[in-house]
Amino acid sequence: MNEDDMRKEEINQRKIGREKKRKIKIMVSYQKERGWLEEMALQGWFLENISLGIVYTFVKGEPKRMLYDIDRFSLPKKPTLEEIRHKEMFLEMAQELGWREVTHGEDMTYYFAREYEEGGVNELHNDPESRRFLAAKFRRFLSNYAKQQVFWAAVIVLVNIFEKLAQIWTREDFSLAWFDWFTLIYVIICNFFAVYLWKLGIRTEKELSMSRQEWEDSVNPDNHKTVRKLIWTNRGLNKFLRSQEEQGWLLTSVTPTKYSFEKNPGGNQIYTMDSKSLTNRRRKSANQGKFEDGKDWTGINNDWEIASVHDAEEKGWNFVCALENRAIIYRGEAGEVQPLNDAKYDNSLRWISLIGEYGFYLLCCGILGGIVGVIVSFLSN
Amino acid sequence: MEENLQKKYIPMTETTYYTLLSVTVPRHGYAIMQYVSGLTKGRIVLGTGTLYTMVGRLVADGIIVTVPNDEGKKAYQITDTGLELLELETARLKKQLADGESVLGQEGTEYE
Repeated sequence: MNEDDMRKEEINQRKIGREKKRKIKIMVSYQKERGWLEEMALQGWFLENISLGIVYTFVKGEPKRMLYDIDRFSLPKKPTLEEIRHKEMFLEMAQELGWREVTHGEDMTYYFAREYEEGGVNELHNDPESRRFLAAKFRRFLSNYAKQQVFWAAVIVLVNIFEKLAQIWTREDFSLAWFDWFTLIYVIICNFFAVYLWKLGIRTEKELSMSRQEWEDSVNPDNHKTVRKLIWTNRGLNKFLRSQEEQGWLLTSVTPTKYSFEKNPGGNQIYTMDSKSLTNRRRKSANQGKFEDGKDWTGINNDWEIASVHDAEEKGWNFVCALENRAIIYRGEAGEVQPLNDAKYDNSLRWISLIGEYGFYLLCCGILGGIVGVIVSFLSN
Repeated sequence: MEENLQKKYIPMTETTYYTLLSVTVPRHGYAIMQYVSGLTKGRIVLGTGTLYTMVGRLVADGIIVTVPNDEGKKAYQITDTGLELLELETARLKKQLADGESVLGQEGTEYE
């Protein structure tokens, strides 16, 4: 080792434990977050503090393979002595078994760390049961947070209503235009935030119920992908899914615009989509009664799916996935399956089954409202 | 014993069963982990979070209690309720095993 290297080494040694680094990063996924923290530790940066959920402070140390994990130990508003003792017990036991409490966020999520151990249990929660408990804790926390947002939106609306009532009561016009704007923007932001938190809760629950390995497999881009695409017809759907299959991607689930695929060497398969209206048409031509439900205003009745699956399986199709209660996608060996529906429906617009009847009514109402508005404003001029 | 405890714990998960077995004598956290992996020859290794989540529930339900340990660490021991549960579960498992063996043991049995 020459002199230069020695000096560098010395400077490095001096930095250990002293030099700090601050990074701002928005991490939505806890699994991703801990992967990142472990990568930082491999580079010799150890987590010291997290503030506001986005500012990470690291301290310099000898590069090591570390493990990070999280848990929540929230107590109810009026904890009993037993509950306080439990929290003590949890923290003590974590320490006894080698997990050091690093820090906790403002939301009282605790971060634990331990050195990696070859062949050891390298996860805080290593069985499905306790993982489910953990996931449920986080889900509850995020859902409550979402509910709070809705509550505060309601409060501000009430205050606004009181302001209006006060104006009527006192017969004075002290109209506060800025307050109306504030209310509107506040309510919109709160609602967006609430929806976001609610969805995040569902996502976090799913993620934390998985073991590390399971999660890594589920996000591995070699095995999974999603494609955003608007497909209008049955023929288009079949063409798109067949071209994906030729590249080795098999469909696993759909939303109106998002198609999820799994890496899988496919065969020569074709696809078809069935919906309530098509099922009804089939039943009509077979002189069977239609599926109609007077109580079903929003199109959530999915009795037709039973008949649809029955028909499809008779003709050799295999179920792939359902789009809520509006459509079902089937897969079948080309040449072996009989067409499920008449070919004349292949180019018919399938988007009504995608957005749902309810969505269709909303769209119609919106267009109608717009036309009426234009006419009224035209007449009043 | 309270009926809802029976409902909650029987049938019992494997990890709960082995944890209860390990605290028939007072043991602290690390000792529970070691005992269980030793008894099952490494088949069941309790993670830290797994252990404290479970022990927390068991203490809350009065199935195990904390007892002072010489080294100042907290140790856990099964209560009478816990023992009763353990015996009930063992009896249930015996019956389950006997049923399984009697069906699987018959030759030419058709499984449906």
